[in-house]
Amino acid sequence: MTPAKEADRQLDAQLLARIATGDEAALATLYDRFSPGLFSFVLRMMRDEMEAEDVLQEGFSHIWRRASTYDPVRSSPFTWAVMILRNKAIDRLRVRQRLERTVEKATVEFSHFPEADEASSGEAERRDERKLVRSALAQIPGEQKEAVELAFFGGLTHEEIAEKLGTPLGTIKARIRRGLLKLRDYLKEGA
Amino acid sequence: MIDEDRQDLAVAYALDTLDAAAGRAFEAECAADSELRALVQELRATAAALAYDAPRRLPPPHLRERVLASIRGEATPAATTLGARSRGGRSLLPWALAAGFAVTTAALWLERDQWREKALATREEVLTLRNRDAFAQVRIATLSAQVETYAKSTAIVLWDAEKQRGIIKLANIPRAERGKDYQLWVIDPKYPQPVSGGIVPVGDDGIARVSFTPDQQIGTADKFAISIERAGGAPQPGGPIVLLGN
Repeated sequence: MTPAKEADRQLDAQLLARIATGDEAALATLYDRFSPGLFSFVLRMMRDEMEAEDVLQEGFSHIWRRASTYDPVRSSPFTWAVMILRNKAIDRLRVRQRLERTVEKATVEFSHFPEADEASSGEAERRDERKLVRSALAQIPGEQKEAVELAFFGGLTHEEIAEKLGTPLGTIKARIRRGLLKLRDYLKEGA
Repeated sequence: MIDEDRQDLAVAYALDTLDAAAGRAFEAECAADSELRALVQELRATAAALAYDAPRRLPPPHLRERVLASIRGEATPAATTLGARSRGGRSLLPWALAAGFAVTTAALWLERDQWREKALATREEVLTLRNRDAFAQVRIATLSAQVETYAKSTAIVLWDAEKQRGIIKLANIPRAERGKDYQLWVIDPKYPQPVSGGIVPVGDDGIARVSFTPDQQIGTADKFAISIERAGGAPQPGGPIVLLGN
């Protein structure tokens, strides 16, 4: 890990420690640091801006209530936050799926949202990581990438992915395992 | 060396797809195996890094205040009281010590997590139930065609009266004429005119899925309607109503 990344991680961990004591200003700072990345991510999962806003709000409320459970040994603050919001998004996706199944079986394709102006995002320091992740994703086989993305962004279980793709469960497990392990190696090399 | 079966479990755990019992069993295994723990941490960090692959979109400016207002409405975090103990405990129980005191550390690690989880579980359950109740308020309305051209169209509205917001889904909708837009209306008897739910942009594939918040507070959403209005929408319906339902 580069010194800059390590410093970022320490700063974020300090913010979480302050949030755990009820420091609202620390939460506001963490929001400013994380919300662009987290909102983009949640929007990709939900494909709906209002729902993405709700998930972001729920996620930060969760962070507020449970900052004391953050363990710096287990993950970086950003990883911890991503996983919290992902779980919130998956909960909503599942409720949405249940609701929609009751009224129709039609599949609705969602439009893709245009990308934000990078210059206005205020997250210059995250651009390198974005490039690195995209480059790593480009290096793994398409079928592994597809399976990993369905698991991560779609919140689907291995069984659901197997059913969706009409592929044996064992094959799906292997694709996700190999894909994630390769991504890990690429990200380590590039870090 | 971690075999493929355990790697699969580590992947599933990192992606939170194990059920509760399998998750607990895997955590117990992790507590006694530093190599497995390290793999899980790496996989989790790798998965979370995928968030960077999402197209960049900034949250709307108002959301920041909404988030901060929402936490002000909550009590001081449970961490204010629990945190002091847990942070003190954390320094005594780092995973780094696991190599020398694997069994003891494993037990304490699980105990610590279970203690924290139990202490906070009630609050989470209340919030989950609150969310579930909120969804129980959702009303589903299907709209039917008022003109032949829309006979094959599908229109469904999910309306949450408590949150004053809804989602409309349309399929098989003919493209609007140039200079025209589809507009959603909510008909509430307390208002003399339908209340606008906003423009509903329909894609080239004839599909739309839009979240909406009506322009005014809705008491009873008697009916929903879609009309064709001038581009950009109108304050009151003037064009033909093509879909209507309750």
